[in-house]
Amino acid sequence: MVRLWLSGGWLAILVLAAIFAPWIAPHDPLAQDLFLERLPPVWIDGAEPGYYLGTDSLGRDVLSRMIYGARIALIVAVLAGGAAALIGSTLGLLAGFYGGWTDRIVGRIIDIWMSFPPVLFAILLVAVLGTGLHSVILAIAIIDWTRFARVIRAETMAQSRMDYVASAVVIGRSRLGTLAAEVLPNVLPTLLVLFSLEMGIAVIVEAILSFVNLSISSDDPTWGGMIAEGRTQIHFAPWVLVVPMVALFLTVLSFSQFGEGLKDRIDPVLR
Amino acid sequence: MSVVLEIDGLEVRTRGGQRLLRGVSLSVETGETHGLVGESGAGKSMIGKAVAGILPRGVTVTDGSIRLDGQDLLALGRTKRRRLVGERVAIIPQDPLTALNPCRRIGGQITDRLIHILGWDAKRARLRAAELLEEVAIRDPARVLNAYPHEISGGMRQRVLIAAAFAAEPALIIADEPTTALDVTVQKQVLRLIGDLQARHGTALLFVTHDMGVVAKLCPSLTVLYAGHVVDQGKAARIFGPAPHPYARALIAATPRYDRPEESLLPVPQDVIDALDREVAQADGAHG
Amino acid sequence: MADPLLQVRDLHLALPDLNAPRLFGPAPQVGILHGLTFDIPRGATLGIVGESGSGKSTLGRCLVRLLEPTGGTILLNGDDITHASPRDLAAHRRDLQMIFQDPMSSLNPRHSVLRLIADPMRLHGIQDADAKARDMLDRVHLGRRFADRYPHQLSGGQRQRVGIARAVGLSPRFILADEIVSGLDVSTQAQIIRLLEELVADMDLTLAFISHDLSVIRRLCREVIVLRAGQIVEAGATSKIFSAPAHPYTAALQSSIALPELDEGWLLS
Repeated sequence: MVRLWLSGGWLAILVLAAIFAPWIAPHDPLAQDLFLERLPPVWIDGAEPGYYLGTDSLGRDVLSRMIYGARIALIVAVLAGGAAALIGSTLGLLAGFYGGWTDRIVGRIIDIWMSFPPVLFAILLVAVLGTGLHSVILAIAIIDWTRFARVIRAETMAQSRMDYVASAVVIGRSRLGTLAAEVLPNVLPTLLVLFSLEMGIAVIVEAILSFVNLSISSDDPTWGGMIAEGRTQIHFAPWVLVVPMVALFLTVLSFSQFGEGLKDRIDPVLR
Repeated sequence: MSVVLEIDGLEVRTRGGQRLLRGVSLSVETGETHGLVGESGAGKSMIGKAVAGILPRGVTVTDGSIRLDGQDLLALGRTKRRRLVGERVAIIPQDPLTALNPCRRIGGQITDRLIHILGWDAKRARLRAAELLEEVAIRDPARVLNAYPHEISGGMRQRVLIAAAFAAEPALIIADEPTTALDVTVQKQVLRLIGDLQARHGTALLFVTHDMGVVAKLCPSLTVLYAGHVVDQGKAARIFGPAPHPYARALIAATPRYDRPEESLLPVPQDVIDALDREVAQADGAHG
Repeated sequence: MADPLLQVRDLHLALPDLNAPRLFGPAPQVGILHGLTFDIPRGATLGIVGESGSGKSTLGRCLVRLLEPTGGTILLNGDDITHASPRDLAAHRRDLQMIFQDPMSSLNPRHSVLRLIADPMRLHGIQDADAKARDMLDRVHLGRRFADRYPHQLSGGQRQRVGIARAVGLSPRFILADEIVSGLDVSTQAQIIRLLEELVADMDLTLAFISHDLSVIRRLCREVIVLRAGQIVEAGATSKIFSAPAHPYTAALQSSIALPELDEGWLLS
């Protein structure tokens, strides 16, 4: 209960920040001012009023960059996580439920897919697709659908062996109807947890790609890009590194906790 | 005959304060078979678990005493208690498949207790294991000792567990629904086997079951439980005779019988259950 | 007996043996049922008894066509349903219902009690399914207040009542009950058997009752077939088979039952 509220609270703050970024960001995230470089956050001596989380080595406001960075993080989390979930769980459900050839084909594709090292695969994909937000999202979806497919396939198989599926046949439900009305509701809680984990992973992958400069242009504020920049300033302005890392950590943790908490809340079996 | 197990006023509660056993007292002597019967949730398995010291997490003994060979188990330290129980008590579990480790050969699983608790050397333990398998009517002990649990049938597995239970010559065996998962013909063989071995070894046997038929055939004395409360206790001759407690009578009448189909399968009457619930509430009230 | 509802002729079933060692090709088949022939007359109560591995549950699943036989024929009302496709079976489904052994597994844990009973009716185009499902709750002595509960909130006996309501709600001609009381306490078992007896009489159901417990079958079924290793060892009127079992296996089954009365000689016999 507590974790649902805490994680939900943090995610709500992020969503609001992302939507209303132009209105709440105190400064232009791209505006450089070399007279204001490496200002510390408000709780350290020497801070300048109005720059709550300090500035980076080019004098850009860290808080404003964080707020705009949340936009990109959330877009990636929802779109990439959603696309991976849609592809992966559709294939997983079909393979687990129908078995036979469907299962063999999907299973082989998953095996082949998983034999690529994911980070190299991502870098390769972005190199081919070109940098930019859409390539990052596409790359994450293309790589990570196997995570859903594997787990959902196994869960669907286990559920299909339950007698309630046999019972659905006896009452005269069609195959597809059985999959949709009987099996899917029982796989949904697992799917929800996976999806919340995947959103966290998507945020991290985007940060990694930004870190190696393969995400969107380096001017645009992303948390990963900020961490990469902050790394060079760690001895002079540690907050530039620490602030986005803390945000990243809290976000990934919140996604997984929110998913678990939500599952406990909406699943009739656990209520 | 000496008293092997003496339980007095045993109360077991969950962490939340819910009573699972409400002051159970019973005693079992050498060579005696005592039946523990009741429906699911009556707490019959909890008694065996409390004796063996394997209560589920969050469930504790809150009152009463358990004496094994005159020693108060609850007053002993954890290590001492485990040691004493390990030497003197054995359990025949309900599900022979999950009770055996699927990755280990059967031989090792029988000799464990002999080697680790009684300190026998491996060779002697193995000979004893083979001897025991013969005693439980397994024709080819050498092969079974080297087999994995999935390679033998369900009835055979249960016999292996019986052999393992008797291996270290315990003073007390707790059999927890040992035949519930078996076919009737196999059940009868297994019951006969337990009875035979017990008579030969002079072991005290606490037999937990929900089946009034099985109790009638195996246990000269028994305790009938309802919601952790002792409803009736005494000789089988009385309880299966003309004057049992109404609940015991009702359980007998609910048991299906092929010889009197019309007079069996009677659900326990609601007024009997209401009276029991009142009795339990009264006992709780008096006990605080 | 001139008008059988189900006619089973020389029924065979073999399933692939997944444990058999093999390198290539399909798994070898292992026979489960070996040529069973019997009729289930309209209004009959037929007991199918046997020990584990006798093939009784497999036979049951063939009768309601959850499994497709590998040989022989099954006629329902004269129609051959042995190899009927799911589409052809759709017309017969309403008449061919089943109550499962373990209601915890056979009732979808994420459907409410009302939905579990109403869904079959809806699938077969029955009007006012929800209202009729509520009536069924009364019919199985569960009460309407259970409509919005989920299976895990019920006791074993209550769950099995839902299983019965789900099957009986379609007013099928034939109903198969597969070990439906084996996991229950004796008192609950007695209630469920009585409920089934009542429904069978009221609704003119034809019942096949699979059980390992001869005593329950003696009470509930007029006819019985005794299965062993996929073959019928004995068949006939229940009263007759109990008073004079013709096959030693039937006699052994009967004498292995522990009746709730003192009998010191029983264990040794």
